[in-house]
Amino acid sequence: MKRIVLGGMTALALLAVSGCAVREDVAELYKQEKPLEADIVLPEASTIGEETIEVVLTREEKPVEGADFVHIEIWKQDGTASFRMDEMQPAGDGVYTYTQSFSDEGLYYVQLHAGHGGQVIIPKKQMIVGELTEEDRAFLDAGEEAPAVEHGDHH
Amino acid sequence: MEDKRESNHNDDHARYRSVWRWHFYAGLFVTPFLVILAVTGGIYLFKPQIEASLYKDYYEVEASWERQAASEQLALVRAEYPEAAITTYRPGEDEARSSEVGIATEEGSATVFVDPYKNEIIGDLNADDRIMNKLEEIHGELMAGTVGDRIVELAASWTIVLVVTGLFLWFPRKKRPYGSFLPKRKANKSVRRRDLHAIPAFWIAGGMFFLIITGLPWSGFWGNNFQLLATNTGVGYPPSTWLGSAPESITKTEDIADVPWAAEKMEVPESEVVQGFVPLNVDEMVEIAEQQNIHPTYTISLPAEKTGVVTLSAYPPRAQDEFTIHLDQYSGAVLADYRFDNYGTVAQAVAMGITLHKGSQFGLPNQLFSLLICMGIVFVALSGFYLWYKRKPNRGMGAPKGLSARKVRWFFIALIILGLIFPLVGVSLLVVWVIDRFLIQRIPPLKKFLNA
Repeated sequence: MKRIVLGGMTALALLAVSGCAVREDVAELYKQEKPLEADIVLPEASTIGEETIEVVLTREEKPVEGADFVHIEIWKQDGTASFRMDEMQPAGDGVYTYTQSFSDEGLYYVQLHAGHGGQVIIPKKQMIVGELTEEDRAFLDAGEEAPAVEHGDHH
Repeated sequence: MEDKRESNHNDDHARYRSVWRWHFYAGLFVTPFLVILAVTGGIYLFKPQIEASLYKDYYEVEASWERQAASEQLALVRAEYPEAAITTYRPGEDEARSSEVGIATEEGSATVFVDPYKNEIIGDLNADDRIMNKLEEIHGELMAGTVGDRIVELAASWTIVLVVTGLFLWFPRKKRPYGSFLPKRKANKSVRRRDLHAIPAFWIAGGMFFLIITGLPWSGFWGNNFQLLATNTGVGYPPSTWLGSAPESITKTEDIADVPWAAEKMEVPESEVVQGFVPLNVDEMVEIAEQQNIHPTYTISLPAEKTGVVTLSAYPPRAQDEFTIHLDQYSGAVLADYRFDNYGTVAQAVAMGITLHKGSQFGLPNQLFSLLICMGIVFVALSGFYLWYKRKPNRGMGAPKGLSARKVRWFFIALIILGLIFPLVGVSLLVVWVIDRFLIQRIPPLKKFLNA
């Protein structure tokens, strides 16, 4: 009988050792990615005329030189202006630049298409040239009304 | 010399009876659950065919040259179900298949089927209304939540006791064991009756054992701890594919765009809040998914929070085609890419076990083979019951008189090992022992009834 009791206790102890949660650093035991990261640096206040946009590419916190491609695409929110996708110019140290001439005020989108070592990213930022129009503001506020997405339980 | 042989024979006999006794009581407990599991499982095997026929009108669409973008389809669903949150989008694996949009409402989750060519909603299905989901709930937890899950797990683990003791009882003891594999022609009634149970039981024992072993990793207690141990030691499922959470998007939250009126509240220039990263739209997600070389049955799970990720995943019929990919919801950068090849060895075995258990790994032959095992289980359970019913005296349970398990040493050790591997079995053994020691052995009529 003692042995049964001992056995039961050993089983419970084993369970206790295994813990009841997934280790925080458990991802390190499996295949890991080295994601490509980009920051899109926009002028603080843009106006009609030429503006320079800067992109900083990093991977594992090191600047990415010689990316496979670094393209930029700019269009106006209301669809009244759209510029063709173009190559950005490397400025060294993982920095790439592009100068665009704007002739209308309002809300724009700036999307980066960058690839390096098998990873492709397509981040985009909103950009204001001059002032937002009333339509732009209405558009932006409506976006907020989209219902918050809720998933089932995440452990 | 003679004496020794005599006592050997008696020992054998006592051992046989003890094992028989365990087989008998375990069988009484397990039989009803085994029948439920085998019947529901036998039907569930054909889920793909059954759902394809039940939901034919939801699934099939007529392809034409113009297909609407995913964002158009989502807009349609958003307009039709303004209260619901959109959780998933599944583009459909071929051009004759409708798109599925997963929505969450206060009543639960549902799937909205969209015809991407006509850009119209075909209909919706509540997860709770799907007959196959109900069947799965019975199979996995007897529709009784956690308690049901534990009962199923207990019954499944005890079935291992049944298989092991059963094989011992079946084991041929004669020089010509032919009669153990096929029914004997010239046999008396009781042998024939025994053959009705023992011979088919022998033939399905392997399949039955396989179904239990492949089913247990799903269970709530043993399975959960098993998966946890495997994942935490690097041999299991990578985090988020079974247990554990997905990574977070690496785009910094302070770089994310906000609405213009937030600027007034924060008293900062509009450009500072509006000029930020915006999330990928669903068309961009589809575009990225198409570049990942993944199975066409994939589903895109949309992020619930600003720090969340976009997840691409699919659980196709073959385990080797499974994957879970997490993307940064702003840049689309691949943050984790877990395919079958990236699973730990234990998880690969479990994943393969699951698709074999479900009958999908090898298609129709797999389904038919598993169906045969299920039918065999029902037959063996019923014939076992019949066997008992026929020999049962009017009074008493008709259980074989047994020695204390402790006197049959190897069996006692086997039980302890089993109790260690399956703590629920261990706990139930303790309960049985306590009941036997403090109730049955002390109440003479009960002792007599149970032949204890």
